[in-house]
Amino acid sequence: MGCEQWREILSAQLDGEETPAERIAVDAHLDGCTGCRDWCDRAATVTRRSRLALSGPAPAHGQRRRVVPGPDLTDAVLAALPAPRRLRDRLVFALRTGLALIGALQLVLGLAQVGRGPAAGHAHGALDTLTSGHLWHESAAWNIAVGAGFLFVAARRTPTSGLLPTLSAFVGALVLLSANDLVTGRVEPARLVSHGFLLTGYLIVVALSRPRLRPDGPAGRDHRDRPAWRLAAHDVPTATPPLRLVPPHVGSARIRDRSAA
Amino acid sequence: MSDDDAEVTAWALAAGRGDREAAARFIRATQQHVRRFVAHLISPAEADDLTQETYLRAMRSLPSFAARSSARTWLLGIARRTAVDHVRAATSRPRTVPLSEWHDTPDTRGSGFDGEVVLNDLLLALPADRREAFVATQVLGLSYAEAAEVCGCPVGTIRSRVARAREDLVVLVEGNPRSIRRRPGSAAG
Ligand SMILES: [Zn+2]
Repeated sequence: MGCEQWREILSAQLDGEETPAERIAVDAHLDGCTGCRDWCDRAATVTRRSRLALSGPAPAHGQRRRVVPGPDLTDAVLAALPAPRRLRDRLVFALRTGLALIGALQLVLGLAQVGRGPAAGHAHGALDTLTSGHLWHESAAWNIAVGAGFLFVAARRTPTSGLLPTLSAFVGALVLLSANDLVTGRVEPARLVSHGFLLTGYLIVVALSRPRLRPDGPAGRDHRDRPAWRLAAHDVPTATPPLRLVPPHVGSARIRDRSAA
Repeated sequence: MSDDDAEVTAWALAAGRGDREAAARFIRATQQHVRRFVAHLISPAEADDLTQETYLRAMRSLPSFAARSSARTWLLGIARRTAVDHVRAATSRPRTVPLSEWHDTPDTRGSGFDGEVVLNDLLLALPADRREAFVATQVLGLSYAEAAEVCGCPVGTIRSRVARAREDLVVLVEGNPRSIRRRPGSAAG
């Protein structure tokens, strides 16, 4: 084994990273090698000096070290971050949960409607039972569709605006017709209560498709005017290209720091 | 993982879930560490910018931080990558600072920093991979295993890089026996 390898062990020993076997072996080598003994002394001196000069005394919690203590960057970093996510995320979660419940309820109501058939008291006046029965089923199908749509929106994390045109037209028409039917006495107010779920679900879908509440919403887009550095998935420290050597003549940066300090 | 590290990691996880208070604690507890790391990897003058950029990157990656390593080494790994990217960008840009600025700039540092200035210059003369291994273990006091996580290489590589860095420094200091004392004097005069 050459002296270079012994010196690697000596270096590890200075950091307390040598194995017990290595310690014994290197002690034996030092007994017979003045070169390595000498090197070990110098390496220890350089190490001590570096630690002292570069890291200074290390106070508890590393708050104010002597070397390069800079301004507290906490506020600057937090200010550059997207709006508080916590509140927004909670709100979105609550809305989606609510929508899922309403969707499930709507679905169950629709299915129950299919099984039950039109109630006798509900038969719409002059219509014969055949037409009335089919209209009943058609309305059940709509209830099922809307329930399924709500569940779909609640389950997805992506923007939900795709359902909006159909839902808006449906809810709008239903509200107008219900108001009309209420005035002309063609529907009991109790029947309209079930539309309340539909309306609530619709409003939640509208809220969820607002840009501020989208998962990939403007949070990431607020800072377009900032210097563009991007964070890709590989920026997480797994890939490890080597640092390139800065040649000694690239000294302007170091000089600037001298005047800045 | 020490108690301190465990606490910092807990803050990082909470911050990843959107807890701003935890994010603030996380930054306060780690920023001097990050600053010293990038200061010695690149230069003290750019330490603030690089530190801030490191945190902006880290904050974006926090939601996916899974605490497989301590948050401290995870963060230092991001700091290292920020430094790597900085060097890459800097070397691809034409230099605009005139060389004369070198000589005209008076040294306004307090004398307490002289040793640091010289040692920092010596460090910058090291090959980058040895420098980062040396700074991580000697200046930041990381274990070889932690430094290996930060640099994304095997522990044995850190061990040999630290040894090489020591060899280089021994040679540099011996080669310029007066370098430790001479610089501050010449700058003042
Ligand atoms: Zn030897």
